[in-house]
Amino acid sequence: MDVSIVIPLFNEQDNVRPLHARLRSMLATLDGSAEIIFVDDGSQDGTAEQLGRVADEDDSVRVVHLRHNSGQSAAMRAGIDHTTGDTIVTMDGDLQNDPRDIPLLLKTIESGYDFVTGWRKDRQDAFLSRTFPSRVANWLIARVSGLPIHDTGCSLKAYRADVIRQVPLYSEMHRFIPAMCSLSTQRFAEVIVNHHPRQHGCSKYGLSRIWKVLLDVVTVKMLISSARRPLHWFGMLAALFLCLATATFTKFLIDTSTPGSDLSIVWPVVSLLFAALALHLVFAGLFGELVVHQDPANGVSPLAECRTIVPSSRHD
Amino acid sequence: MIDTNGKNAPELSAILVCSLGDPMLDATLDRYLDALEALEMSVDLTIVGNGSSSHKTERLADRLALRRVPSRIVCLHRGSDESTAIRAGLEASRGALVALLPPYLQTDPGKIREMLAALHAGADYVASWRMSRVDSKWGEVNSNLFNRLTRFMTGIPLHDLNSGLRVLRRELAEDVPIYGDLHRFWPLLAAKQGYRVTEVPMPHLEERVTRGDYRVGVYLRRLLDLLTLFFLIKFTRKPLRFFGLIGSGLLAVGGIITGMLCIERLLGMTSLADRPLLMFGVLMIVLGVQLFSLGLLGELIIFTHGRSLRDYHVDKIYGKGHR
Repeated sequence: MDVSIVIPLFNEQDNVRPLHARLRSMLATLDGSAEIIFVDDGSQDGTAEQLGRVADEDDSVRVVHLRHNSGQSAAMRAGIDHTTGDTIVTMDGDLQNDPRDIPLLLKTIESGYDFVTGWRKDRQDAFLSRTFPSRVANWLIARVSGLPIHDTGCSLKAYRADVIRQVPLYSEMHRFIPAMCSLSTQRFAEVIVNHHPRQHGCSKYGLSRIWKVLLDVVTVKMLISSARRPLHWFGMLAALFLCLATATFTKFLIDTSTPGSDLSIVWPVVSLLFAALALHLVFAGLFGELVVHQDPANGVSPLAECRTIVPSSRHD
Repeated sequence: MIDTNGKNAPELSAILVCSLGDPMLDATLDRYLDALEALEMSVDLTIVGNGSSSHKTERLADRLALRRVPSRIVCLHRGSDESTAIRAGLEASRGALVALLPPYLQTDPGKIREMLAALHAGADYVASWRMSRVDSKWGEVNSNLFNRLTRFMTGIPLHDLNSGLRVLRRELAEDVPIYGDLHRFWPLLAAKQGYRVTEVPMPHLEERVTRGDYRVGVYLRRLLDLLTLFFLIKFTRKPLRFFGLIGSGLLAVGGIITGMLCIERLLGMTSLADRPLLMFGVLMIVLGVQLFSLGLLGELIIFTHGRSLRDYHVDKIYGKGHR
């Protein structure tokens, strides 16, 4: 199998048919074999029946039904685990991504890149609730991960199969796939893709995810900068608090050696607290070394340039 | 009579976890065997005993040999916990459906038939719900509180987690791991993985009511179990969301207190050395950073085996022309 297209779906019954039709007409223009893997992420509407009918008609379609709604990361992992292709394309099932962008993604992969992400330059979503938070998140993720990618949240991406199969995809890590990919490869590119307004069904995202994303960003920052050497990261933090401890202790020493000044218990106590924290962090870092030692294969390599590829003819 | 695992696995394997030294065991066993023999399906019984003498085991084996239901006895070390005993029983038996029997008769064994019906109606785990409790008021209040708290924390509507009689599919038993005291929360962990869990209400029998003679340690352990469960159900894959949220809360409190004091000092309104509140603020910062670093370590642990994590459960795969 040359290409596998993975599409997670959750309550998208009205989108299944049109999506499949568009995929078919796009695949007809490709040479080489292709398979479409729909992952039904525990939908409660008619998505499962629609998918069943599509699979009956089309031999290249496979449907993976999950027992209950497991989230986009797990659904994507399920789909990827059931692919047989050399190149894997992922996309959303809401018709906002355009299958006609896939050939360009595939061509870019063929020209030697390990993963290619889509960039929705003209987003067709409500500005305040979707586009703006997404811009902020993208900027933050780009800063933190050091990847010069404009739109990490775009689901339309293509990967060499051996790269994506190596990427840990759990919880809500799908937002950080490029950052995680960058742990194992540096050859990636960005392609400007189309984006359509939603026609059927409703968005499954809300603003409530902000604090989750913020904490995830901290996690990813820690993983990227210290997945190999946790002690360095925790040690830096420990050094900061050791400085505070030293400063407050010096203040205490100055007070004791100055005759006539009032001695206060506050300074030595504050100093000891900071010193205790520094010690705690050093041991936390050592504990981290122990954890990482269990799987030394978590490699981190330096970052490279990202190329942005603009389609020669934008289709609308 | 010790069954040699014949070629045909029975439809239902009953597992009774008990202490072989229990003087009431014979009477309880007879009731269970009567109920099992009345079922219109092939049944076998596995008794998992804690800390037994060989003499007691032989006597029990002789009794069992007289009955129609094929049975076996598994002996465990004294002090093995209930989850381990259930696992041992599962390994020794082969039925596709499993009935777990408590060593005390608080519910009518005849209700197993009703529970099996619920299983056939599509459930994967059927719990029993003892209605109209007959134990002491204190025990009832306790149990109610515990179940309410669990319902509130997990959002899964089960009413009686402490009732020992349950019927489940072997597939679920093998898929949802339990250890220690977690067998109590088995239905909740299973529901979290997408299994269908239901309960059958039944009257609470008066026989062998255990008086509420629990010591403080028991309540403490229950609470800790509940915390474990809450953590396992909500944050297994995202430790930082738990530790990080609490940690950043403490950090914020400490930061605000310390910051206010520093500003007052800079404006010359107070001397920091006179403010013990500063110690509290700094202590909060220290605790906050510690909790946050615990969360990060948790994330590191999850990430280290992230590649092998599979957070999904495939129900079925559909499509022509594939493996």
